[in-house]
Amino acid sequence: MALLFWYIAVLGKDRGKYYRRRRNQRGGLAVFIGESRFSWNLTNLEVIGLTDEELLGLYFARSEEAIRATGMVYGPYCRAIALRILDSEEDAEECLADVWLRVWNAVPPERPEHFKGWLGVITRNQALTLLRSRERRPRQADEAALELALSLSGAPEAELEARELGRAVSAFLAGQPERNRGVFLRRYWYGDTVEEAARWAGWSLSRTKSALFRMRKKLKDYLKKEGLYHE
Amino acid sequence: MNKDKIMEAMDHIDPALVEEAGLELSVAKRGRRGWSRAAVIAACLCAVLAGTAVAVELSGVRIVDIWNNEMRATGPDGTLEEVSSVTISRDIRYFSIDELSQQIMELDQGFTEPAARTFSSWEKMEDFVGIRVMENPVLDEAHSGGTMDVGLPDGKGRFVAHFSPGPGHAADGVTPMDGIVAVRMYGCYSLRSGSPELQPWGGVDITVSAELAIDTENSFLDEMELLYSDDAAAVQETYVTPSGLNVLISKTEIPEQEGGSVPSPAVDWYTAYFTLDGIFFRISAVDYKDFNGGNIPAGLVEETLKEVLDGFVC
Repeated sequence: MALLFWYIAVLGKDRGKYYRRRRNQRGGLAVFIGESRFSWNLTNLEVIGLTDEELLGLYFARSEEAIRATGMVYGPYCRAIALRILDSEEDAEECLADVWLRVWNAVPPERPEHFKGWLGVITRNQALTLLRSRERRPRQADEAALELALSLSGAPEAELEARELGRAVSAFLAGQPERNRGVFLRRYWYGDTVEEAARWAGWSLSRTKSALFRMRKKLKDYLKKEGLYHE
Repeated sequence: MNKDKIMEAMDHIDPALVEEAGLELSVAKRGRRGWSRAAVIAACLCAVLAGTAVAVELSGVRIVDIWNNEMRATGPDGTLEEVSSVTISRDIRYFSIDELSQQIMELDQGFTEPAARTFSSWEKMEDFVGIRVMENPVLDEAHSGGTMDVGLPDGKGRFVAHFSPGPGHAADGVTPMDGIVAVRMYGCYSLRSGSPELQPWGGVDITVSAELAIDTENSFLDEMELLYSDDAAAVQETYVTPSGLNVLISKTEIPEQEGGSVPSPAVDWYTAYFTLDGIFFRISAVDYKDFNGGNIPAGLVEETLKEVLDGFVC
């Protein structure tokens, strides 16, 4: 109960801007405030304006609005990731239902610092799990992974865990120019085609291919330097 | 490493980075400085350049800007000099580094300083670069010309490839990029060798330069500026080869330079500019006229240059 009051205080303060926005658009204010603050029936307008902190606040308050609100704010983003891997609207919907459940169960105690990226990671993982359960492989994401795997051909340390490799790739990417690492992740994390990654960055196709090629080479060198890769 | 491991590793990428890449970025457009304005300026200035025939629009190469008698720091010591300039825009193709040879891709790794390589033939240079850049039977038949010196170790010879790194963006707080930005291939040829009228020169020397632009963070090679000192008289003309190649030819009359340890003779310097399959070409020939006892017939060097241009297979 203490947590609920804390949340109301925080949300009430921050939500002032949404009330003002609504008043400017429609005029009336008083009834709206009374209804929404205490019944948790957030309007679509309010939901779309929620910050990550406010969304997480709903989970911590164990409000069922949390799932609907997350779906409204980040549903399109998560759906795009799921669709890219599953290539089926129906499967994507099933995947998202599982994602929201996982988020509900994970928060609290977890309070992800980068909620959107964290949701993306869960969605991708869930979509791949669903795909494997149906003995299918993600066509586009598979091609991208193969491209990266071939550039790292050779034998990495046998005991190198995927988690350790993922952390090393993260550390490598953190040292790269923002748009370069963006293109890398669009291709190898989001599973974009090279053309899509080029459009995302506003680069030509050949420039994007060059950047990806150079990033793959640099990653290999980085892993060697870190002692995580031996040819 | 297998792709399943890669896929699994991607699950452990920092969500902050995933989130960042999930944001939509505004599209960054490559700058083309004042294109239409410059074209208008060029068109206007054409009229005031006495004795100058300027074609503003050419296929592959265009004049986009002309400046006359401008004070510029031209030397490394920052000495100001009055110069004129012509800026040309080039319809070049940006190559992806992985379109080039394995040797170039290896050289590209950690490449930060200019470098050069010499070769025994143009074909061997093309093999090294990994791209056939030209077909020209006239040059195939030509004799050995002089040598090119790009001022780098292993950068002096008849066939030289020069590799330029990117300038980087450290001043902008962005990691300076390494990697090759441009590959320039030089070849020195001699035509009309043994012709008695070309004694004591022995022939007309032709220098061919083909420039491949590599797509990088610093892909701003679409334009280049040709500088002329104030005492030089520059004339530009267009030339269309029988195979339809549109060429911009610049003729610069450089007067005799007195003083210095070695006096320079009066020469006419011809340079032809064009792009072929997105590769930028510069073909140069120098008419030494009557220097050192020679008596090169008027127009012979220009005629030889056009013979070479006619040999390019489009």
